[in-house]
Amino acid sequence: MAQFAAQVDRRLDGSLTEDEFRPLRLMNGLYLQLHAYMLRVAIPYGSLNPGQMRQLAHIADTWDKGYGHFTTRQNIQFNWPKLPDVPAILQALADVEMHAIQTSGNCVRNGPPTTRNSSSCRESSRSPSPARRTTAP
Amino acid sequence: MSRRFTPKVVTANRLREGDVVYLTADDRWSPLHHAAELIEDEAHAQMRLLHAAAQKLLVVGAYLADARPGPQGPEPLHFAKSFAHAVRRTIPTLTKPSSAPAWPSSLPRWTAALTAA
Repeated sequence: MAQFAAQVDRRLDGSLTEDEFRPLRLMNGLYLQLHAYMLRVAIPYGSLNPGQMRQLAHIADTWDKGYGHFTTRQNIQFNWPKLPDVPAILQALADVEMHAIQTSGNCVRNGPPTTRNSSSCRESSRSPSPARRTTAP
Repeated sequence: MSRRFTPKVVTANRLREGDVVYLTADDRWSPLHHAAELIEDEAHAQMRLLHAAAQKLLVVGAYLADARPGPQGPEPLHFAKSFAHAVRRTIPTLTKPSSAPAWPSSLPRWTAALTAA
């Protein structure tokens, strides 16, 4: 958390260029899309406890526009975060044992309900579920 | 024969907020597309793009977008931008309403959910 907060500070003061910062923010689930930043939060298997759900609502109310979008992979995206606020959002997620790590790029990702406990491919010899359980997104 | 240059505007995202902004003729960044400088000369467009790209602490990802003259200023040419531009002008989706807004009767009722907080 502190590491990413420092990276954001360095981006804002110009010590990091956008090219240098891009892989760092993507590793933390932060995209820059056509109209705004977007933070994708991992929800392993799409399962949330009430405390986590309330924290997501708190994040939406405090740092976004009061709502988020659940994805087809059962994660949630906040579409209007501001860059200086993202470290605080990640801290709020960590407070309820959530994060946004590896919710982008070429890595083990969350899946739709049909792949909850099995591989998405019948012929596959390995299920991604254990990896998903540990890596979350 | 050289191709005719399509007029451009310079657009980017604000570094801090991520909002889309457009470079105006007096070197401000405006969220309004029709406030942008419409650039009709290719060399000038490249110069304005370099000027925008140099503002690394203000904006990120500056690029030239096709545009055309309109009655109130430049209008976007690309369908997605035109659509987003039209939505922004007609549907208040970009701010969180403090209370439920009166919904225009000309719009389908289901679109009201877009602004529900």
